[in-house]
Amino acid sequence: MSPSKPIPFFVAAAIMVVGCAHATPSELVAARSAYEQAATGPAQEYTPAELHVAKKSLARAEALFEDKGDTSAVRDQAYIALRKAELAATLGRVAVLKRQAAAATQEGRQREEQEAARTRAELKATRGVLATQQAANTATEEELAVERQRREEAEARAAKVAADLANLAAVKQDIRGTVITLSGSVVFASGKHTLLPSARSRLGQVAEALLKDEADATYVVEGHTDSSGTAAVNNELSRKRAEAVRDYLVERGVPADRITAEGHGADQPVAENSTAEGRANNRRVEIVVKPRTAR
Amino acid sequence: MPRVIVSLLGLALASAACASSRPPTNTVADALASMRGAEELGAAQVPPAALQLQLAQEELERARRLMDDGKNDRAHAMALRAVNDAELAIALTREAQARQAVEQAKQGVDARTPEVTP
Repeated sequence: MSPSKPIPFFVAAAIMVVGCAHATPSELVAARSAYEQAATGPAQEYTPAELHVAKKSLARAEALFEDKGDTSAVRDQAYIALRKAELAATLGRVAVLKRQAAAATQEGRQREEQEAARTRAELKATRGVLATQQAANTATEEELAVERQRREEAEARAAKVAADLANLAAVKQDIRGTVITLSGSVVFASGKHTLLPSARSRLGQVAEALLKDEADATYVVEGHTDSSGTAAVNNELSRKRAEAVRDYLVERGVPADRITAEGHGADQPVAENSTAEGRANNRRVEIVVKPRTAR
Repeated sequence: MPRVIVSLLGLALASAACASSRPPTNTVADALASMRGAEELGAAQVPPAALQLQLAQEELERARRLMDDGKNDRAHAMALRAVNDAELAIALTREAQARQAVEQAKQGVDARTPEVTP
């Protein structure tokens, strides 16, 4: 075995030399790789100072390795360079995450504001609609109230007029309209067509009542007689009496263009001419009130 | 002769450096401070950071034993390793926390995103 001894020793020595010259410690390999990774990551933009420290640390490890080969000092330095590179890469990632968090927070705030603005707009719109509806309701109610009041007033006025007329003379409704009947004996002396003084005040009240009626009606004053006497005389008398009443009413303010006079003689009796009472009823003046709508 | 003197001088200087190297108390203190910082940040709850912190603790132990043996240079190197591991533990903890913050912020955005009404 002794002759073979020098050969293994030589081989071992050769291997050692080769190993010393070329074997790179695993720490240095890892450090190179880690630095490469860090240098191509976000660290180059966000943490260049830390990356620079890592670079210098790696360079020192490389220089030591170049100088002394695989020694514990090289391994120590390479280990530190590895950690520096990892630190730079990690801090770069932290910077990126912080930016992302800030952006997300900002976006959240914007969303919140948008949402709040949307809610406010909806609320405003809803309030607007409500206000419009309320205004419409109020307007309708007001209109209804006004209309109701107007109708009530008109009805009250009509009732008042009817009541006033009823006090003065017989008032009835027939197809011609409202008919106010004035007894002939009350208004005229027998055979005459001038108004009695007592009739003047009553007709004045009739005129007032008619004027209060704002329905803008037209009036026809009809004169009637009983059947005693000739038709010519009766027609003449009834016409003159109607005209007398008309003239007096015009004198008291009833518009002349809305009131006409007609003489009907004994043609339209309302009672028997055979009795004194019947004849008295037939002698009359009727004021026919024709509502405006009937024109 | 001058060559021999030069080499002798170099040897003397080298051994002097070796002999004069003091216990790396400052570096050990740095390592301890960084390790405490990592712990306070909550490195124990972040697996990669916890691993790094454990490495730092083991290295610090080795550094102390080397100091006991008078091997101050090796102790210094080991303490430096501990410092760098502890610092990486801090950074890894911060990274995990930043990632969590991003998640929360994004969830907040999702929560505030109005539903699309059909």
